[in-house]
Amino acid sequence: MFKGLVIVCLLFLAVAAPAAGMGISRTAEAADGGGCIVHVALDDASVVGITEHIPPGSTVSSCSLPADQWKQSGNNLYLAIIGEEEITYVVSGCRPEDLSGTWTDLSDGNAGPVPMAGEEVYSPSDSQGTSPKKPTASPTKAGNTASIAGLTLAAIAFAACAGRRGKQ
Amino acid sequence: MNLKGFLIIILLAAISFAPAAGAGMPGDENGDSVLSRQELSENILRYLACDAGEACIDAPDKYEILDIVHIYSAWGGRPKEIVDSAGKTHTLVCPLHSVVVMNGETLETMRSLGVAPSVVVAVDKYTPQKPEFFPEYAATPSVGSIWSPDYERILASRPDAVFLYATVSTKECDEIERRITSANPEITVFRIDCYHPETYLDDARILGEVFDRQEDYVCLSGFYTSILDSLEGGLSTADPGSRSDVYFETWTDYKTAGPGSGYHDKVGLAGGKNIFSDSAAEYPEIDPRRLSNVNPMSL
Repeated sequence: MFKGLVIVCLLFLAVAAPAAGMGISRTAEAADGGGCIVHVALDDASVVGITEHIPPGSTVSSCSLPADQWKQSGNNLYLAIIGEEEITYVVSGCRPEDLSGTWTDLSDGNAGPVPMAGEEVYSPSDSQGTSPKKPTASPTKAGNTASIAGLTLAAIAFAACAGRRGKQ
Repeated sequence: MNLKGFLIIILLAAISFAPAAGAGMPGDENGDSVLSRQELSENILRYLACDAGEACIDAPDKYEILDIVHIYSAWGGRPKEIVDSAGKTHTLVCPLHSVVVMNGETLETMRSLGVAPSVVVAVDKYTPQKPEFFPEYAATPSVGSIWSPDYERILASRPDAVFLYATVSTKECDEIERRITSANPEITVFRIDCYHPETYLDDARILGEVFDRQEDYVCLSGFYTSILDSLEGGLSTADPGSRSDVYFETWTDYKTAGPGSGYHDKVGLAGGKNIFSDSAAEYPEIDPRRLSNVNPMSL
């Protein structure tokens, strides 16, 4: 029984482990007069490239990054993050649910989709934004899944050990 | 070398040299040898646009952008200067991605520092002959030895750098360095030993700088020092007269090690007494009759 529990826990960890990755999330709110205000938050101050997809016809009217670190081209907004941990930009003519995007950690090449806050991204880190998203409750940081799995493993192992002691 | 061989080297040199000619620091748009924040952001934006399907004019590819970011983040946006174990200063403008390693001790230390085996594109001929010690290099192409180097293969492997001994077999290594840098000046030749206890940590530190593995060097240094300390502690209480006579043979029959060699020092550090410690040569070949007369306790 104990061996079986450990195997189940290890499998759980193996499934949860790939979710660990860069801590990044987006929140968006409706702006006065239409459009939306978008906040992108990163866990660490690193060098990251982000491509945000905005609805056709939308225009980015402002961005908190220096002017040479962002560029709109058609439906794409390119962001060069060099140590910033929070970026805010304003898009006219969009709704928060219309936004999507991908990040690339330029220190190691890992990449993935930028999730809206409250979304958990289940994807290998090099998925280039093609992996499905699975909504969950906050917190949004993918690494938390592994922590939860670890705690669960510890709890189950403790319970199993206690059960074994009781049989002896 | 015959004329045909010489022509092959020239051709290989031309092939390997051509793409690197005029190569500067990646991302340094204005050529001032400083990768500024603005140059970094311009390159990131061009990379992202190209990756999204837009025009890729002047855009770095996915490998080049990683180099650019590494230079900015780890090197402070400037070329990296490294002084090798022979005292020669080298300037790197880009992280090393392919190296040829001609001495096993340096290769071993690179492994200890966590350098990825994929970076090593060729090794000396002895390394693949020791798959039990270097399993990760069992199938890596070999380029001969420092006594009989295969220049065609060295150049054909198009390395960013070649590693040779600094203080042993210097005549042979000097000649290899001269020929390689003549054929392709873009190849950096590092002279590092990694075989002598006295200078080992300095050599390892230099390798750590070369491959940006400084944190791994600190770990390796701590481990190495702890072993030396425990040996010294154990030997400090031992009777000096109780040291075992040791015969150490290396490379070929009756080739041993004398004072000045790494092996001689290692025998002493391990608590042994080298029976040929009176040798004038670092690596003498001894008369077998001397060995039977001495009758060492350890071979």
